[in-house]
Amino acid sequence: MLARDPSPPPLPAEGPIVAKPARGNESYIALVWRRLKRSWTGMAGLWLVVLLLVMAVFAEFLAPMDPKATDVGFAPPQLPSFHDKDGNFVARPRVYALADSADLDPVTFQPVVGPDYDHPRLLGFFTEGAPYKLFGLIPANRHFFASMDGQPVHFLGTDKFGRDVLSRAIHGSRVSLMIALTVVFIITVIGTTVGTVSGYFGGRFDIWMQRFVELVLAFPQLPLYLALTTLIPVTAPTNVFLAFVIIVMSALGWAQMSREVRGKTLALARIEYVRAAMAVGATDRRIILQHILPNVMSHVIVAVTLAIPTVVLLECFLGFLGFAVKPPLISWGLMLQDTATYSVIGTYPWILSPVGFVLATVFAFNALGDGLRDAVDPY
Amino acid sequence: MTVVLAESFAPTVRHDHDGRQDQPIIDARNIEVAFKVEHGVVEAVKDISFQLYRGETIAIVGESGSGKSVTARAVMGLLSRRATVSPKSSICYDGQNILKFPESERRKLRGNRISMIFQEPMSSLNPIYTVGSQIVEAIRVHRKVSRRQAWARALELLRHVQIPEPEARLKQYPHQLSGGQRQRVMIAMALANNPDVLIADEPTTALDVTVQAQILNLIRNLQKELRMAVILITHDLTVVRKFSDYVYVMQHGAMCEHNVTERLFADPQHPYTQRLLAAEPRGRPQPLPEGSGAILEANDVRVCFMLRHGSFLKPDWRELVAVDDLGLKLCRHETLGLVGESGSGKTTFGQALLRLIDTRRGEIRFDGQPIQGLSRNEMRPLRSRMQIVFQDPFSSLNPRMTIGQIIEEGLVVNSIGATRAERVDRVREALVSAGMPGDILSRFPHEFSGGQRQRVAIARAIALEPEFILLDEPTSALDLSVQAQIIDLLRKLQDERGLSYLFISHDLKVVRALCHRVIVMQHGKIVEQGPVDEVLTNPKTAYTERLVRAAFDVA
Repeated sequence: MLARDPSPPPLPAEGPIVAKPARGNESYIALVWRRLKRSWTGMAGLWLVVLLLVMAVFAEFLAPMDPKATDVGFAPPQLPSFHDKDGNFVARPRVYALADSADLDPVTFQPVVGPDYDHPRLLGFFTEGAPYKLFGLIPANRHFFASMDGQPVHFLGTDKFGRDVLSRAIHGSRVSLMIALTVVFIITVIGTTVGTVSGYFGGRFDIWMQRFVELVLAFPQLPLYLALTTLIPVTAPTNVFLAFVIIVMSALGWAQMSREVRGKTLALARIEYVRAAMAVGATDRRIILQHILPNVMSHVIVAVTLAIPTVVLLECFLGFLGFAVKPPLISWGLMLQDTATYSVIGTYPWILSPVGFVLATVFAFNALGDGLRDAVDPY
Repeated sequence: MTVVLAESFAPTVRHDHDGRQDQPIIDARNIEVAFKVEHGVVEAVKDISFQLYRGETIAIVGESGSGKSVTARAVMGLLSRRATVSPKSSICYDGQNILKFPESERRKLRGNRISMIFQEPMSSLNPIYTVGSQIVEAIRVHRKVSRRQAWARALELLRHVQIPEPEARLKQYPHQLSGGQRQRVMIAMALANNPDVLIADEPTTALDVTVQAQILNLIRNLQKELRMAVILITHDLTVVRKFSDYVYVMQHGAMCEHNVTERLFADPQHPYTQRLLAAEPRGRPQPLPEGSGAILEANDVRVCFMLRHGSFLKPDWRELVAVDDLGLKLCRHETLGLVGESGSGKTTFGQALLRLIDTRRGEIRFDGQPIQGLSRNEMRPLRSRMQIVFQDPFSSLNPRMTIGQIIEEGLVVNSIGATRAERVDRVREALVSAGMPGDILSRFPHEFSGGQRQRVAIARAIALEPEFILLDEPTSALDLSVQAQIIDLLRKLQDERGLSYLFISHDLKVVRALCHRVIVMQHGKIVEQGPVDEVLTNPKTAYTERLVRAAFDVA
């Protein structure tokens, strides 16, 4: 037998058997981690995913303001400034709110609006501001980066009701990611179960199961979403509505996952270590749990990381159409509903900023998924 | 230098390797190839020099990982991108150092002056083009000839490599040809431009034993006719002895010894070469104790597979009879060989006897108890008494489980051993019996070499203390020296534990070393059976004779 190229490092002579670790006694996780580290996009994706999750968990703390508090509508973004009224450099970052000067434009007679240099709002880390309950339990009022005296600051401007876009986007990540993770979790559990069972037992059960999977895959999804979401009464509480959206998305999404898992299982069910397990008398349950599942798991993990961005995008799309999340919950899709009018985007482009968050999420999970795909099969 | 080639197989080209006047066609000096890996570089080939003269065959011999293929690829200029050839290496073709050539110049040599045949005839032909168009492409890449001339040349080449009905073959696709025919097509492509040098990289490893001899004879005859120089890369010493004039032995990327074939085989100098030569399976099984009863009996076992022909709308199911009413009787302490070419149904028969494959009909008795009708649950109590060892140690161990878990599984499933500690003791004991250290329980299969893994697979089987083990080509994926060790191990275990083996193999050398009786199978039927010595020394059918000749024919 020939060595595959490139040749493995030379092995010591076989004569006296020396248990020779190829590279120490490394666990599977360690091997995957070492290979993932080699792909810089994968690592970038991983860090971004971690950041996004931290953002979702500590949304209240990270958001500079209460996402429901209203201020001036469609206020433009205020960037932190290091200059005072006269243009001199100052150490403390600050923002200047827009304010009416007492003057009128001599031509149009409209009030002249400009930065209010007389009342700088000083910025700082860990400032006290709007009160909230961390994790819904611990009362707190510290914010990561906001104005020192609790006055409103809008780094990404405000929407039509004068709510802070940045704070809403940070809070929106919570619902958007929660939907994505829940849906993908349900999809994975159903898809993996159906896939392994169908692929392992084969025969008549597999044939009928696959026809059913094809039926689900062939469903025209968009009309179905619209039809199903209109089934639920408008007066239903938001939580019920959210649960319903998650169920509908999961019901349509598991089929693809089960297809992938079944394909892998089909190959594994004929591999020799599965035969060897049968030969020692292992039960089907044991073979599936011990031999098939751990070996398809790597593929499932990759499929999961690639499924999350699709659900995020779907939520965004349905939210834009007004079918996914209802106020008072906040999600990126819902925030983008405001951008439906072209003239609004033209005049107030900052309300598109949730798109940036969506892009970052999609990139992060896709990059991580690509990196993992290369890393999960280190043998 | 005059080249005289006799008709006999014995290498007849003699030369004084250093004192010749003739200029070598390939003069490789100090080849060094390194591969970039995660932690630095691995030197795959270290300081290899060899000379190849017109009209001779040199063999590069070594076990897997010894760097022989890498050396060949360096000559062809087909190394992967991660490989670097050291600047002090030189490979001179016809006096010019081709390592200094730009890629465009090397491409002109490749497939034209220097050709290569690969190990896998299945994957080295493109499945979506006809055989003819692939040969024509090989011709027209290097020569300005018309399409018509190229097709004529392709036909001539196929005649040359002795493919039956060459006109029809030209228009066929690779999947319509057998493995041997595909390898002949590969040879035809390699010869398309009358190369000076032909590199054959394990040209017959993937082929059946009987086809092997035909292909090697073909290469030899063509070499004689076209006065080519051939580099034969192989691990098979029988092949080396039969077909090469000069041998280079490689180990761990370095050259350990080189000499004229006859002298090398008669008087190996380097300890590695000596070990390699001694590694041929040898020894004989212990004689069978008197009056040992039957452990496994089978009568009229038939296994069929359903194949679908015809269209989707009008399916036409046909039965493929893989095992056609076979029977056997295996006694305690006995090893029964099951021999045949690939596709002869020997593995199917073996797995059917263990009830891993369903039988259509027939009777199977294990220790007197009929087992043919038992369900998987009813089979379970018997499982620990019958075990199996597979051919490929790479796919027979679950990569996600530790060695300890793999071996312990059978004990857990069959509720052997009351506590975990007791089971671990048995796992250790099995590992030690299989010649592995007992402290590797928490290691994973990928940390071990092929031979070590096969020992783990054997440990898994014997941990259950079975009475019968089905050995499905347990040595054919292993290197020669490892093969011999595994055979010794199997023989030792049989003596110690009174095991019965059903040994499936295509290699009659191994069968002779291990088996008491042998059954020869072809196309799902038994062609011949009897005591090993009788069958091997006095084969009654032409098929058996072919198998025997392929295995033992050195002269």
